[in-house]
Amino acid sequence: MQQSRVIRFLASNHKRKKIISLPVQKMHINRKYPSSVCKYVKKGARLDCNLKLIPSPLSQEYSIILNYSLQRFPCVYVKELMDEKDLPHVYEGNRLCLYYPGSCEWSRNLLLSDTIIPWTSEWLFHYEIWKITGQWMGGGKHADDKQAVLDSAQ
Amino acid sequence: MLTEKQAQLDNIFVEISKTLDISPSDFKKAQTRYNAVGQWLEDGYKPNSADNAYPQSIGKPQIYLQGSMRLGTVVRPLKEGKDSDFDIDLVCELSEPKSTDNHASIKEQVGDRLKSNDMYKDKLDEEGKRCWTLEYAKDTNGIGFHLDILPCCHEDPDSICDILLAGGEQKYTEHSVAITNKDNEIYNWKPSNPQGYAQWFDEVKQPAFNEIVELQQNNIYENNKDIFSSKEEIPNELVRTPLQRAIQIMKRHRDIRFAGNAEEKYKPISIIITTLAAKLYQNEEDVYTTLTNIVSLLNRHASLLTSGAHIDHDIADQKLIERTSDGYWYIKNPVNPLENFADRWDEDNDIRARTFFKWVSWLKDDIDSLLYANNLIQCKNMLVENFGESNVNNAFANIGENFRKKREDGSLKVSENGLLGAIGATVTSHTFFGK
Repeated sequence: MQQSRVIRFLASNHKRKKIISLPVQKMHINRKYPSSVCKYVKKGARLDCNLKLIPSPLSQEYSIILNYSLQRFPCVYVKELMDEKDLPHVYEGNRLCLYYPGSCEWSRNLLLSDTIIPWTSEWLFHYEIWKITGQWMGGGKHADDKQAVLDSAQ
Repeated sequence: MLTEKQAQLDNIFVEISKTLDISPSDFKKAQTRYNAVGQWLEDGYKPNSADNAYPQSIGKPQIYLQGSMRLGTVVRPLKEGKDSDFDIDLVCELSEPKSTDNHASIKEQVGDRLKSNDMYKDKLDEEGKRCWTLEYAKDTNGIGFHLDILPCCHEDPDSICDILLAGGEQKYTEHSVAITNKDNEIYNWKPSNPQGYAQWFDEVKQPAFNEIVELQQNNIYENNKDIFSSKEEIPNELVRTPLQRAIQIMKRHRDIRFAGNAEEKYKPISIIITTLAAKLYQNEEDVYTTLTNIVSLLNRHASLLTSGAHIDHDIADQKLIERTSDGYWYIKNPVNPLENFADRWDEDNDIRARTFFKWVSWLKDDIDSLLYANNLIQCKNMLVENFGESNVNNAFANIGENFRKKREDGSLKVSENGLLGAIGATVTSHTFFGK
């Protein structure tokens, strides 16, 4: 009897951190990014956000599309760059790669407003540097190795 | 207070000027070389010996750096539109009294001393009008440069008296020298005062220098631990105040804008740019403000081009650029009122004066237009027109690298609308991925 209580006690401390709900994600995005407009689609299962980001004072404004459901990873697109070819650090369809899939950099207990969106701004900044210099200076990994490719096929 | 765009431009200007500058490691390599040449020249003084290189000297020659290396306003020269090797200017002041006709001999003594060393003899160029030049080709050490050695002697007492009477200050005038000038095989004397000028320039930038010296020495030391064993070893010649960076930007803008231009030979000379900028410097703390203030004030002098025109009292009183009623222009050497840097400005229908003011207006327009670029890429294109492609590219690559490092050490912030910088929430650690 006592042993199972101990196990339950230990188990509760190892409980996974809470998954943040879509409404809370929406609230934080709207609060921190005044340009953002978010709506629920697919009967509330997915959050579609549109917002504007300017990575540096001399940069242009970019229109960002962020789609997020709890069943999938966040998808970020840049409207102005949808037709550009050979972009660095993007997946098929010019979806931005903002974090290393096999890691804990992004998970559902994190706020999009504090992770994915700032990382998008950073991606945009380095995109501009890449356009100017031909070099990607933001660091990162490429899908060179087999394990990384397997990890990325979420 | 700078706006956000101006602050970003300030950072870009600093990064561009760094790409034009001599790196600390290259400077150290060059220093080793020119110190060796200086030592060789000094060792030529062997009193009471038959092979004394300087028989009329009463002491060792004084060897010292002059020009942009000494002032810290170095800009990689542009030759035929391409970036070229650095110029290093060394003065060799013999302790031989000046007479009416020992100019040729002073020049020759220094040349002969160089030639008596096989290595230097190999590198020696043909005799120049005023200097001997040693060519150091780019070798495995990676740096190539031209070392100009300027033979001279101390100025004679009468000439020094004249300078003092004209208003020269003792603390500068006491360093006056007479340099030799060769024109069609005929030598004559020309006055100069590189040490006095450098001292004046140091005084102008001293307050700004004191503000930033420690920070910059730390930075240079942190990034160059393999060549400097302590911060104290970092020479003052490597510290850059906003004034020096502004002068670098101005000189480069001049070089690029006039490259291949019909008026290239009339383009403003560096001593004029340096002197006017230093006279106008008000200890501004950033390069952007320094530049815009200097350019704006210089631009206000353009009305001098019209004969009989007046300029506002506040700028007239500064006596930066003066024009007399008979059309002569004056930009006086701050350490020698008898030396006029603009002595040729009235020639050819004032072409040099007109070219100077045309350049100033270009610089003003070019800097102002940057604020109206539609995006960073357009801004870059405008900068390339004025400062050169590879320099601007390298500057932006370094900016990108700095941003990545800031994010890695947790100091990159993001504010609303996605603006990255020093304000807002920390951009957390992540790895860009993808193809």
